Amino acid sequence: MTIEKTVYNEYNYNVVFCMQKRGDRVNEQTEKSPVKQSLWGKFFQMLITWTVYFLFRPKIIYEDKTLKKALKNRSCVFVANHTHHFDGAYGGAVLWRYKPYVLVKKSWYEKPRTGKMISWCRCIPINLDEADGEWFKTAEGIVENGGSLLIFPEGGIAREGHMQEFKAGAALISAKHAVPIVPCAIFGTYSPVFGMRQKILVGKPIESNCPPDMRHSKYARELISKAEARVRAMYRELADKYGDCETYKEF
Amino acid sequence: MNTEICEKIKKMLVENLRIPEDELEYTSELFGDDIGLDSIDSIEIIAGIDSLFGVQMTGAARENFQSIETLAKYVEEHQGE
Repeated sequence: MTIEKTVYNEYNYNVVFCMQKRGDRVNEQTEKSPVKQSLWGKFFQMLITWTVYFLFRPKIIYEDKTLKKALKNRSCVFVANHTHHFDGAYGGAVLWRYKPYVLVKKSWYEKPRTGKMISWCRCIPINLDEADGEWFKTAEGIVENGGSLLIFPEGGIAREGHMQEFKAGAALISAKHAVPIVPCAIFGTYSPVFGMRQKILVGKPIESNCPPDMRHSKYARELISKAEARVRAMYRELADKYGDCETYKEF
Repeated sequence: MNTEICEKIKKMLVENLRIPEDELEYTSELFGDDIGLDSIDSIEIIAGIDSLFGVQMTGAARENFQSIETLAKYVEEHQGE
């Protein structure tokens, strides 16, 4: 039996997808269109993408050129460093090909205007103040149906001038569902229009293959530390190539 | 204690968190020395309980996660809310 479920929680976030009971067959509709977004949501998301492209003239660099296409038809968890409040909108815009759902701090949904706009986009609220299982369940639904996620595993902006430690929760989905983690390094200061182009370096996927006798949480820690090391190295590469943009004092 | 709920939770813990079934008693301390789970595992527990019983445990006090028994008690008290 397949349950068609529309998820509109208290934050009215824009996730409409077909959920199937464990062990049930995937129906045609689920295979065809696993993650749906309202028409207005799609239009608004497109508007945001155009605005991001106009304002920040993003430069998207792939570590391996084949990645651009290879990532398109598979579920993955993009993880990136977090330097600015724009990162969510920027990441969602430049990775538009993969339609990732961005994990957004729940407190943003409580802001009257911004919260409303976030709710139209492909975003999932996450409560960082307490153990939150709601985001995990939603993210599982998305990944099981072929969707992708964009997570900032630092859990906040690097305010003290250095990249913070990546939290393992971000890799839990990857560990449990054998979905690869794609490390991304965001580089730049979001200088609008004529300033330095905002860059993103998309790394090679880190495949997830949790051994059968290992707990997902333990494997998630291993995965996230690999991803963190990759993001730091990739950021360093960008800094060497384009010069230090002074986002971090050290990285 | 509702044995049916306990059994479902135990099954979920064995399947989702890969805890060996023979190590897991209804009274085993999940986050203590017995099983040794950590905060990341609690995310899976919360998601599992929600899927199984439709009970949301986000923000529930830490003591509710102590054992299968306490989890079952929480589920029993909050089911149908």
